[in-house]
Amino acid sequence: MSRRYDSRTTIFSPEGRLYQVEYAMEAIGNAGSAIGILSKDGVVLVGEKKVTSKLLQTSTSTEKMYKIDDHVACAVAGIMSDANILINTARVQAQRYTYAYQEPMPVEQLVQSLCDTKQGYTQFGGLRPFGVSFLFAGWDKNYGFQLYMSDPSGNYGGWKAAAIGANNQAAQSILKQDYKDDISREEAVQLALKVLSKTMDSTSLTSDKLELAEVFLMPSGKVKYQVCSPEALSKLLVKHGVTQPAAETS
Amino acid sequence: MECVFGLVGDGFAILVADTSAVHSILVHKSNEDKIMVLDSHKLIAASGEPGDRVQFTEFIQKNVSLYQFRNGIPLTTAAAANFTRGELATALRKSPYMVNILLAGYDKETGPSLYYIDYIATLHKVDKAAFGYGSYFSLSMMDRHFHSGMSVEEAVDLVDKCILEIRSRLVVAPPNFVIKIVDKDGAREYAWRESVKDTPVSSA
Amino acid sequence: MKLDTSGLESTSPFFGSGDELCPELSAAPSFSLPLSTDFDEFQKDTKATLKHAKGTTTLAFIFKEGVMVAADSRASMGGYISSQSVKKIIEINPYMLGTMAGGAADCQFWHRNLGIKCRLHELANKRRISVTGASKLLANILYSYRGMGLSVGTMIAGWDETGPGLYYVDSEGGRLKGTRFSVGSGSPYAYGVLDSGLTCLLKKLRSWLEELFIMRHSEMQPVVVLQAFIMWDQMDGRSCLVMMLESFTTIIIQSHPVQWSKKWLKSQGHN
Repeated sequence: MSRRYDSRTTIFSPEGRLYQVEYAMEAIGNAGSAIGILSKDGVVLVGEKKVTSKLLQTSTSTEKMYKIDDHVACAVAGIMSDANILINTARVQAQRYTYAYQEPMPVEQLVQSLCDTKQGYTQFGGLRPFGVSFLFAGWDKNYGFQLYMSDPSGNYGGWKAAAIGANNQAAQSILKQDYKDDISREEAVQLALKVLSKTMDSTSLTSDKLELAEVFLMPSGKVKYQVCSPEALSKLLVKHGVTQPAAETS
Repeated sequence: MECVFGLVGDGFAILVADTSAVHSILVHKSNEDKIMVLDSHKLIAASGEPGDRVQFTEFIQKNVSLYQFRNGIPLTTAAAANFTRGELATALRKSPYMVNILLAGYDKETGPSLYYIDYIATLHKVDKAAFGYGSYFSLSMMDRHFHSGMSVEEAVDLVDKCILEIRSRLVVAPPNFVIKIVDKDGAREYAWRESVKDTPVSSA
Repeated sequence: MKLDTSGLESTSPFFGSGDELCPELSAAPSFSLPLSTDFDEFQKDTKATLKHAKGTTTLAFIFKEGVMVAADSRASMGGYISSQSVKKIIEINPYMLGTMAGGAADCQFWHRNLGIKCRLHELANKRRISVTGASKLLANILYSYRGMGLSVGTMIAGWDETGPGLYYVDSEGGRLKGTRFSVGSGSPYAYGVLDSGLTCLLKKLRSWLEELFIMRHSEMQPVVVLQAFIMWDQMDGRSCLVMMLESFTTIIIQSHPVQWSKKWLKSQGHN
């Protein structure tokens, strides 16, 4: 294992790699996973909660899902302390945009501005990259519903379905197989739960290990970000038949 | 003296400005275009100190196109108006731009719109608006004859009424005007109303 | 009546021994006073009779063959005339001219500065700067100093790849493109001549210049040297016609490469 080119973020290895960035991505590979699916009438985000102890009392009901603005939310995989910094800058950016233009910030611009911050930490000396991947779900008047995935290098892309965190490759391949265009939001939820049930390490899928959030349009035309309550989530798990321990796929 | 006005019609917005560049009693030029095309579907008419007028409108224009380059989507007229207002407001307590602005645009979602922005950074979305000495006459004309959903012909007719009133009642009336229109097909020059032609370049 | 300044005299004489010099010099320094008991009234009268002609007239216009730039050549500060042969037309470079009105120092300084910037543009881009670009450069500088007391009223005239160009630029940050401008306190008079006399210009160039000169007289200015440059349609920018209007009666029109013009001006007894 190389030790000469991985101590600083700003130095390429002779093979042209940035080890620190790759290590950051590695760190995310161990974090609780999250899945995002774009449907024709909304975006669905599902996350895996890593429950460390029954005694732990979390301050918020969600630990992976964050609302950034009225029309954008994100799911996180990676180091939460890093994520908090980025979420804060994203919220500030969104508000600044609204202050300047009196209208909501287009989703891609928000993602881009955050990824610019991330990129900066892979280039300038003395800093460590953010060990966070994001899934952004949002709606704007230009491109409707959108789903973006970003990684510690500052790369981002728009996706129809994407997975980050532990087992993301397995999840991604199932999504690739099962995703259909013109999927409805309900079907998207079902698909997301199904994928998680197959890729999660835990033996049974229960509502206390999951988080579900959706971004959709209300009949009034307003964008709504809604987090599914544990009770509703339990019902959904039963309905879609994923409460039973699923066979390990990876 | 300066006359800038505009109104919103059915599916279009129209802006009119005088074209005189004046220094005390001297008219340096009577074909100065004071209505700038901001982007494909936006017009900005400005009155005020000549230096500020040009510098500020160019500044806004460049920022609007920078936004489009960066993000691949144009600013809406409302966003551009709010941005312009914001820039005027931040400059106001430093070195104010002495410019009054009428911003007209056409958006797919919202149709035509007209924004009134003065040098102390007041922003209003309006159907008809005017700045300068000409406003005293054009505002009353528009109050009397404007109605919502005017056709281009009706609007131009009203504009001509305003120009006629300015020319006949304003002591320091400018001789020439330029009229520009923005609608679904974009922003463009519509016509000039000239009573004094700039003496052509000698061809003798 | 003479004002006696002998009280100010030093004990030793100023200019050696009195024998060597003419008697006036060896006498106590003094100057004559007007024969008047009411000095204030005398001063008022003098001012009224002299009617100091001051101010500036510069003008420029585009015509078929090129751009014409003309200016008077008097430098003044209030009523005091410091020079009758000032060059108010500044050669920014061989294909671009600037005129001076307002503060002479400001104009000279910023025109030179502009000359530097234009040359640097030429070196960086391997092509000459356009008149549009050069005037914008100057206008942007002046705009950034607005409200700080600069006084510049100038016209940038020249010939570039697009043909003749003429811009009016001032220290308030204004910049106008046009075909005909005049700047300075005499500009209303100049406009009067210009607006009526331009169409038949080429035919009557000579008489036009005479007319222009009458205009100078109408502003109560005595014989001044009027410099006029015509920039001809020549992209190499080498030769241009330099015209000198020496007095009301003499008009010298001479074709001259521009880089010789200074030398030539000198040979004509100016600068």
